[in-house]
Amino acid sequence: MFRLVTQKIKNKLWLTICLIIGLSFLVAVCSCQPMFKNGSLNRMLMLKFENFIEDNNLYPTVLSRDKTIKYEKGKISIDYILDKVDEFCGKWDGSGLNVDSLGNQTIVSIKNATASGSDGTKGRYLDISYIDDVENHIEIVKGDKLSDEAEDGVYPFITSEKVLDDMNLVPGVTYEFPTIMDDNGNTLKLKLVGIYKANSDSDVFWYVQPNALESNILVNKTVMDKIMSDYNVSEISYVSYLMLDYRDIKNNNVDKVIAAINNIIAEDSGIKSSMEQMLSDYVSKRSSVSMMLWVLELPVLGMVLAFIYMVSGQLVESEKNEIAMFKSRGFKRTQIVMIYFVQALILSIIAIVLGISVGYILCISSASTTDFLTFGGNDTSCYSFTPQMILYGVGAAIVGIMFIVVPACLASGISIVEYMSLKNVNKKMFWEKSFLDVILLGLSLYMMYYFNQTADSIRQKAIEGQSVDPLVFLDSILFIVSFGLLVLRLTQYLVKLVYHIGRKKWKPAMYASFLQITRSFNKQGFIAVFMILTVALGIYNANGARTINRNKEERLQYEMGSDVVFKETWDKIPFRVGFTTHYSYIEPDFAKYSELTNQGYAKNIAQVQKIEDTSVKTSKAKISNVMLMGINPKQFATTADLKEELNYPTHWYNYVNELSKQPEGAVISSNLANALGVEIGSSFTVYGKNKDIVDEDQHAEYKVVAIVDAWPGFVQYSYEDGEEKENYLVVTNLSSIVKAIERKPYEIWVRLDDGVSGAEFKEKLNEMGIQPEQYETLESNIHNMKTEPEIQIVNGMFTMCFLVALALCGIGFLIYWISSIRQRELLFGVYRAMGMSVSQVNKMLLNEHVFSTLFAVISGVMVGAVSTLLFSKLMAIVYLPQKHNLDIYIYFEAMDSVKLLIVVTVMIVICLIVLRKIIKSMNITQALKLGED
Amino acid sequence: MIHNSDILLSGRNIKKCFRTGAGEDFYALRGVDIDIPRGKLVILKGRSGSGKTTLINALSTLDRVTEGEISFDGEFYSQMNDAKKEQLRRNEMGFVFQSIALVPIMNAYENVDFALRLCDSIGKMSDKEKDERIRHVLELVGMGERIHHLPGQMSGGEQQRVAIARACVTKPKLIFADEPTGALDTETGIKVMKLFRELIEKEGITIVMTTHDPNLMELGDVIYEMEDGELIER
Repeated sequence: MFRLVTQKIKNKLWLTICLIIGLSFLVAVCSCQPMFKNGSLNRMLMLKFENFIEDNNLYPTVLSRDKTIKYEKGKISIDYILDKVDEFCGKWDGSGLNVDSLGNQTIVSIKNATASGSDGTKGRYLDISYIDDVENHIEIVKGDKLSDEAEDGVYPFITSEKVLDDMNLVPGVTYEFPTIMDDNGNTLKLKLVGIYKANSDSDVFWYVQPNALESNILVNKTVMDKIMSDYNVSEISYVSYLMLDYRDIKNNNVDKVIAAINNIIAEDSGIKSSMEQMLSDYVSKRSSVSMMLWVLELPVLGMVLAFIYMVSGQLVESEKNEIAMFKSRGFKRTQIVMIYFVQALILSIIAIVLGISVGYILCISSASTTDFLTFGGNDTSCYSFTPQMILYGVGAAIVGIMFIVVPACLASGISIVEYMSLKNVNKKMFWEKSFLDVILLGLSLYMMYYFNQTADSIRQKAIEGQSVDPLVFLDSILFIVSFGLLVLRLTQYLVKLVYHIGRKKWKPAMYASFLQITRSFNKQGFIAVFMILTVALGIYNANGARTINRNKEERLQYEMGSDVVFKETWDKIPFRVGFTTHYSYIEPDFAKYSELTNQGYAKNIAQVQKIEDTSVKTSKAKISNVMLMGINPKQFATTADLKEELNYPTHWYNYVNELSKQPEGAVISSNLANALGVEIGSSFTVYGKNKDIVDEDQHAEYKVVAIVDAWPGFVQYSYEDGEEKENYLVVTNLSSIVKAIERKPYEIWVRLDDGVSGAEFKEKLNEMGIQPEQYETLESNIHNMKTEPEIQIVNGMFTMCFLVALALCGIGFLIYWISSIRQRELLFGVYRAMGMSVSQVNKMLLNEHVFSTLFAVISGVMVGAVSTLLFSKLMAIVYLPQKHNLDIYIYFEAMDSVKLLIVVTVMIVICLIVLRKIIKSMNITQALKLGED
Repeated sequence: MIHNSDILLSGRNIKKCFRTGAGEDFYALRGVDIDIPRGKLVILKGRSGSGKTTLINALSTLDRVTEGEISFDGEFYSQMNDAKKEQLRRNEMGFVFQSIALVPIMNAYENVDFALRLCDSIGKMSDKEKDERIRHVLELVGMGERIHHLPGQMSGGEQQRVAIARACVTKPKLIFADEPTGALDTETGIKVMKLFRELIEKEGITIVMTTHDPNLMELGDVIYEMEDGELIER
C-alpha cells in the first residue's frame, strides 16, 4: 500500500505539490487563528492597562487594603501594622500565579489633625503619616532629611511641595497639634525640616504619587511609633497598595487572576481591586474578538477548502483510469478509498509542519499591518507561538483529509463502463441548475435591508461593547458569493449570445474558443468563480479596511481640529474663598510663537480657549454642558482644519468672518439652536462654571451670528459606559471670554508646516524653553488608533485573507490552465495537423483567457465595487458606532484595485508564457500519439 | 524525378532518423521511394514498428524527413515554409486518425464545420452552401441523422465516420488515414473501407491509409508493404 501511494505521489508530483500547498494554507489559516487571537487579546489587555495609566496617572493593577484601627495606647506599633500588611501581601503570593508583585506602598496616618503654626497660621488639617521605606524613594529638594532627633520635644517632618503650597506651610516653622496630647497634657509639636520629591518619575513604589498626597506630612518610623506610644490618638488608619506586574497578566491567565482576586476579596472585605472593571470589560469583549476573527477568516477558509477540493478532484479525475482498473481487478471500494486516505495522511503531516510555520509568519506579518496591505508599523511583541496552534493545525488537517477523500469516494463508486460513458458529458453545475445564486442573492439583499433597518440597534450594541451579530459580516460574504455566481451566469449567457450572433462568421480560432468556453463551462466555471471571488473579496476588503481606517482618521482629525494641540504652563497665584483654593492665572507671552511660524515649523498657531460645562440661558430655556470656545477668528481660520463639505453649502470661513465683524457675536451649534429655540440675531447669556465664586459676574451676553453643524474640535456626541451624551457649542471671540467669564490656560493649536513632525515641533518648543502640557499630535493619535486591537484585527485579517486568496487563486489558475492544456494536447495536435498554425492555437487560448479570465476579473471588480457600496457602510457602523458630526464616507482607493489588477495581470502573463512554452514544445506527431493509449 | 500528372504525391529516397534515448541514431525510414496515384485507395501495410506511421507523417508534412524529397502535385516540401505546409494541410489534405480525435466539446456538425472554417476557400462559399456541404458529407458518411450529437454520445464507428466527414468536407485532394479502423471491430472496419471507396468515386479524392488488418487489403487499389523502414515489393 505504502509503495503504491509513494508511486502515485511521484507520478502526479505537480498536483500533489498543489495539494500540499492547499493543505498548508488550510493549516496556516486555522493555526494562526489562536495565535492572532491570543496576541490581539494580550495587546488589548496591555492597552487597557496602559490607557488606564495614561488616563488616571495611576498604576493599573493594584490590590489595596484600607483599614482604620481604633487606637489603644501602647498596643499598636508600626511593626504590628507592617505584619498585617505582610499577611495581606502574602495572600497574593500564595495564590500561586505567575504574576509578580512589584512591591507595595503602605501609608500609616493619623488623619485630619488640626495644626496651627508658630507663625500664627491656623485652620488647616494635616495627615501625619509614615510611609514604609520612603527614605529610599525620595530626594530632599530643600532642607534636611527625615530623622528622629527631637529638639525640645519637637519632632521633625518633611512635606511635598504641593502640600507646602496648598496647606500654606513654611519651612522651619513648628506646628502644634492641639487635639493630640500625651498623658501630661502636652500637645504634639512637629517642625517642618525639609521638602521632598520622588526620586524618579517612573519609580513604581509611588503608587500614590507625592503630588496626590494632598495633606500628608511625613515623619519617620521612630517618630511615628513615639507618637503612637506616647500620645493619645483616637484612630490610626493605614492603607497598603500591592502592585501586581500587569505585564504578567495575559489572556491565558486572566481567568485565574480574576478568580484569585475574587477569592482574596471574599476572604477579606477590606481588600479592593483596581482592575475589576478593566478585567470584566476585557472578558466581555474577548468572545467577540474570537468570533470576529472567525467571521473575517471565513471566506478565505471557504476558498482554501474549495481549492483543496478542486485539486483533489483534478487528481482523482486524472486517475480515474487507474481507479477503474483497480476496480476491474477486484479491489474493494474501501481499499481504493484507503489508498487516497493514506496519501492524504502523508500529505497532511507535511502540511501541518509547513502550515504552522506559514501560519506563524502570516500572523506576525498581519499583526504588523497599520492599514490594508501596509506592513510593519505595529508592535508584534504580544504575538507568540501557542500550543493551541498545533491543535488547530491538526484539526484543519483532518478536515483537509476529508476534502481529499470525498472525491475519491465518489469516483471509486463508478465502474469503468460508467466512466467511459461519462467522460465527455457536460453536466450543469448544481448551483446553475437550481438557481442557487439567485436565491442566495435575494436572501442576502433581504438581510441587508433588514440590517439597515436595524442599524440603530447594531450601533447601540457596538457602543455597549456587546458582540455584534456575525450575520452582519456573513451577509456581505453571502452577497459576494451569490452575486459573483450570478455575474458568472450572466457572463456565460453573454458569451453564448455573442457566439450566436456571429456564429456563421467566426474564424476557426474564435469558433473553437467560443465552443470551448461555453461547453466546458463547469470546469472553467470553477476557476472563474475563484477569480471572481478573489478579486471581489480583495476589493471589498480593501475598501472596507480603507473606509474604516480613513473614517477613524478623519474623526480624530475633526476632534482635534489641528495638527498639534497643547497647553503651556501658566504661572498662577492662589487665593482662598472659604475653604477652597482658587488661582488667578498669568498669561505667558503668546507673541513668542511667531518665531515658530517664521522659522518654518508651523504654518499658523492659534489660541483656543475651551471652557467645558458652561450653561446657556435665554428667557425661555436653559441648557448646561455647553462648551464655550474662545478664538481669535483670523488665527483660528488659518490654523484649524475642517472638511469643506461640512456645513454645506456655506464654507465655515464665512462664519469665522461673522465673528470677527461682531465682537459680541457667537457661532452656536445647530443642536443648541434647536434646544434653545434661537435663530440668527437672537441673544442669549453664557454663565461660567465657577458660579459659586463670583456668581453674577461670570456671565456674558452674546448674539447668534451663525448656526453650524460641525466645528473643529466640537464633538456633538460623547459616550461614557455606553451612555450617549449630547454636547453643545458656543464659539465667541476669545477677548470677550477673558473679559467676562474667566482667564485661564488656553489650548494652543498648531498647523504644522509641510514635512515637520509633531516630535520635531515639540523638540523646538523645548529648545525655546516651553514645557508643553497635554501635548497631543494628530500623527500619534492616528498611530495609537491603528494599534487598537479592533482596527488591528480588521487590517490584519483583511490583508491576510486577501494574500492567501491571491496565492490560492494564482496557483489554482496555473494548475487549471496547465492541466487543461495537458488534457487537450491531443486536440492541439489535431488542430495543428488540420493546418492550424501555432499562432492560431495561441490566439485561440488567448481568446479563452480573455473571455474567461478577463471577464472574471472585470466581474470581480464589479462585484467588489457593488458590495462595497452596499455593505461597507454597515460594516463601518460596527467599527464606528458612535454618532458623529462626520458621517461615514465610503472610500474607494483606486490604487488598491490597480494593485490587485497588476497582480492578476502578472499571473495571467506568467500563465500565458507557460502555456506558450508547452504548445511550442509540443510535437504534433507526438501529441497525436498521446491519444492512442 | 519524372513528373507524371497521374501521380499526386511522390517521395524519393525518404529517410527519417530518430535519436534514441541512448544517443544512437535509429533510422525509421531507410530510403523509401513511393508514388501515390490520383483517385486511388492506397494501402500501406506492415507490422507495427515497420515505419508506416512515420512514412504517413512525412508524406503529410506533419514531420520533416532527414533525407530525400517529397512533392505534392509537383511542389517540393523542401521548398515550403511552415505556413505553406499548414496551408497545404488545411486546403488540400484531410486527416483521419486511429485515435479518432474529434473535438469532444463540439457536436458532429460543429466538428465538420470547424474543419471547413479552417479551409481558405471558405470565403467563396455562402453560408447556405457551407451548411449544405456539411450536411452533405455527414449524410455521405451516414451520420445525417445524428448531427447534433457530441462525440461522447456516439460509438467508436460513428465517431470515426464523423472524422471522415470532417476530413473530406474541404474537398481535399488527399486524405491520410492512419489505422482508421484500428479502434474498430472488423465489421465496422469494413464499413469504413466501403465509405472510403464511395468517397473516391463520388468526390474524386485520393486516400492513403495504413493498416495491419489483412481482411481489408483487397479493398485497396495499390498496396505497399513496409518492413524495417523500407518498402518491399509485393
